[in-house]
Amino acid sequence: MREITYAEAIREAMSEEMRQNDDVFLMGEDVGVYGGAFGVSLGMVDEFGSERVRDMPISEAAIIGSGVGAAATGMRPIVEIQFSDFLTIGMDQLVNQGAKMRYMFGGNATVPLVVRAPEGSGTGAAAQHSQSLEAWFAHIPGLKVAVPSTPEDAKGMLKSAIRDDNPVVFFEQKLLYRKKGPVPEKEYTIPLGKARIHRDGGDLSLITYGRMLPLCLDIAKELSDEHGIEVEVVDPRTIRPLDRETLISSVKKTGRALIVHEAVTMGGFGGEIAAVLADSEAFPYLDAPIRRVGGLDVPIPYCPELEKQVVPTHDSVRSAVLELLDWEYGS
Amino acid sequence: MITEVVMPKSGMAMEEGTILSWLKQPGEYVEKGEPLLEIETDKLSMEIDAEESGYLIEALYDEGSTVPVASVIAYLGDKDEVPPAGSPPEKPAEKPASTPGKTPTASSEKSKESATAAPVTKQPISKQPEGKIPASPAAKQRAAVAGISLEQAVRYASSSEDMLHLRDVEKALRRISAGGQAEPAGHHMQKPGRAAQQFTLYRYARIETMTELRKQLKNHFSAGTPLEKEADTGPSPSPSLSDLLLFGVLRALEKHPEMQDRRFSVPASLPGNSPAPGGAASERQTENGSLDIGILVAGEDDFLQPVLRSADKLSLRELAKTRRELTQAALSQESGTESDGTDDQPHAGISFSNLGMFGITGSAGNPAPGEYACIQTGMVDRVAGVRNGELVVEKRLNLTLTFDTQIVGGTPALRFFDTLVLMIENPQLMLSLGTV
Repeated sequence: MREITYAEAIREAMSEEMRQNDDVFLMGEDVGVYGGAFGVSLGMVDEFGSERVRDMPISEAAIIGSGVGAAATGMRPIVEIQFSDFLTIGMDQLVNQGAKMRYMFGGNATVPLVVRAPEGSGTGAAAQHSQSLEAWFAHIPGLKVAVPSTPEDAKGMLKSAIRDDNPVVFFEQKLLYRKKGPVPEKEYTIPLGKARIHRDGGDLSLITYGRMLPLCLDIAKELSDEHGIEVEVVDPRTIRPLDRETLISSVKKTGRALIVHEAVTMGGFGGEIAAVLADSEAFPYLDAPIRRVGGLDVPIPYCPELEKQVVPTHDSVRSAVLELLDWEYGS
Repeated sequence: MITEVVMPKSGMAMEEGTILSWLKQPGEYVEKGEPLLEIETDKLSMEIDAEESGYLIEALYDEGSTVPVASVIAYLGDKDEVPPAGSPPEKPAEKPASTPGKTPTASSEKSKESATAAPVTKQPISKQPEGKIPASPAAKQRAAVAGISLEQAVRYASSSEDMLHLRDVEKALRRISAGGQAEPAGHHMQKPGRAAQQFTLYRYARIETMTELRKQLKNHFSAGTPLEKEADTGPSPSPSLSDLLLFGVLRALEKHPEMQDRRFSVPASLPGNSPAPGGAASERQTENGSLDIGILVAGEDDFLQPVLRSADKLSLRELAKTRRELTQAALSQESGTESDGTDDQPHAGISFSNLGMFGITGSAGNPAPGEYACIQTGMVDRVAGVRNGELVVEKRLNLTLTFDTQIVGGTPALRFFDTLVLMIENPQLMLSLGTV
C-alpha cells in the first residue's frame, strides 16, 4: 500500500469531501495560500478557490462562531484552529452554542461542523501552544471527539466527521503530521466510536491514543522480542463516543490495564477510561490495579530537554508496563 | 416460531451440565414456565422451565448426555415446525474433552437470554476468558495471602454468584480449616445462591446397657483388678458416661469416614492450622490421618471448647484421662487468662458435648466457625416405653446431630447417626472396635 503522511491524509480527506459535496468548505487562519500553520491545507486554495478555502481574521471566537452558524444553516464547514490551545477563545461558541443547538431546538437544527485543532507538545512552542485538552471536550454531551493516531485513521475518521451531522472536535497530532503510514488509495471511511486493536496480546492491555500510539507500539514490540511479553495495544481513536466494549473485552482478557496519554494525568481522559473499566464486567478479572501514565502536573516547559521529560517517554511507559506485569495480589 | 432451549449456566464454575431426564417428549406441548427437563451440575440438580409455550420439536441430546453450557439442547415451536438444519450437535463424548467454555457465536445472544430462565438468582458472567475466575480484588487478595488458588476457593465455597467475593474465600478457608471434604457433597439439598445451611437431626437411644457398663467399669477400676495393675499408664479414672458416649462417637466416626473427611491437606499458612498453644500442632492433616474433636466444657462464664487431638488413637481409659485433663486445663486457662481470645483456639471440624449433667434434655447445637458438625447429648431420662407389647420404664438419652449441609451430605449424616445410636444401645459393639 502507498504511504503518505498524516498531514497529507487529512488534506486528502478534506479535498475528497469537498469535491463530492459543495456544502463542505474550509476556513481558518492562513489556511489559503499559506496552507495553514502546519501546511495541512497546502495547495487546496488552488483547487477550490478562496470562497471554499477561506482565510479568517485572528479571532477563534469568530471562526468557530461562523462555523456553528454556517453549519446550523445548511453548510458543512471544516474549521481549522492553529493550535488546539486556542479553542479556549471559541469555547462559548463551541460548547454553549454548537454542542447544544440540536438538543435545545428539539432536533430542528443540526450542526455538522468539524473543528480541526492540532494538539500536543514536542515542537518547542511552549506552554500556550502545546497542551492536550481533549478531555474537556469529551465532557460535553453534544460533541464528538476524535484523536486519530495514524494517517489511515486520520483520513477515514475525518471523512466520517465531515459527514456527521453533529459537531466533531478533531484533535490532530502535531508531532504526527510528518509521519508516514499506509493509506488506501480507494475511498474509505472509518466510523467514529470504534476502537482499533493494533496488536493482539494476552499479558496486558496498553490503551493509548494520539501521539502516544507509535511509542506504545514500539514498546510492545520490544517486550515481545526481548521477553516474549505480549502486550495488547488498543487505540480508542474516538474518545466520545467511546468504544467501551472493545476496551472492556481486552482488559477482561488480559487482566491488566495501562492507559497512556500525553495529556496531564490529573483530570485526563485516562481517568474516565479507568473508571469505565473498573465499573465493568472486566472488574472481577483484573489481576492488578488500573494504572495511568500521562503528562506531569506542570505546564509544558519551553526548555526542549524539559519538554521531553514532562510527557510520557519510552522509558517511563516501558517501566510502567513492567511494573504492572509484576504486580501481584498478596505481595 | 422456533425457540432454542439451551443448557443454562447456573454458577460461575459451571461449564457443563448433564441432562437427567426430559420431562416432555418430542411432540408434547409445554406451557411457558412448565418444567421441561431436569439437569444436573457438579453441585445440584434442577428443573429447567420452558421459556416459551410450544411443542417440543426436537430434543438434541439423550438423557445422561453431558453438554457444555449455552449449547442448544432442544427446540420448541409450533406443531409442524422443522428444527433448523445445519446445527445438529456433535454427539458429545462422555465428557467434552476440554470443555472450552466458549459460547457458540451464532446463538450466544440467545443463550444468554435463555440462561436467565433457569431457576438461578443471577445472570453469570458470560464469555469468561479461558481459565479465569471472576473475583473481587478483596477475594483475590485474601486468597493470595492465605495461599489458596481461586479454583480451590470456588470449589470450597460452592458459590453460584457471578463472581467470587471475599466472603466466599473466607467461607472456603473456614471449610478447609475445618477439614472439609475435598469437594462439596454431591447431591445434598443446597440450592444455588443460598447461604450455609444447618440441619439438625433428633434421636433417642436406650441407654440401660451403657449405664450398666459404666457401673461395671467403675467397680472394676476401683477394685484394682490385675488388669488395672498391668497398665503402665498410671492411674486412670473410671470412664464416665460422657467418656463412653464420646468413645462411641469416635467409633461411629471411624465407621463413617464421610463424616470426618481428611483427604485434604491444609496449606501451612491457613488459619486453624497454626500450631496450637503448647506446641500441639494439629495432627488432622497427617498422612494416615487422625481425628480431632472439640469437647464442649461449661466454663465459669461461657462454654469452652478445647480440642482433643488424635482422639481416635486413644483407648477408652486414655480417653477418660485425657478428657479430664483437657477439661481442667480449659477451666484453669479460663480463670487464669481472662478473655484471652478463646476464639483464636483452632476448632476441630466436629465437636461433642454432653449437657445432661445440667438437666438439659436436648439442644440443637450451633456449629462454631470452622466446624461442620456437632453432636450433643442431653440428660438420661426415664420414660414409659413399649417393649414386646409391654409397658416398660426405659432409660433414654436424647441426641442431636447438627451439621452443615454444604459439607456433610444429609444421607451420610443419617447413616452416621444410626450407627451412633446402635453403638450407644449396644456398647459391646464399640468396645469391640476400639481399645479399652
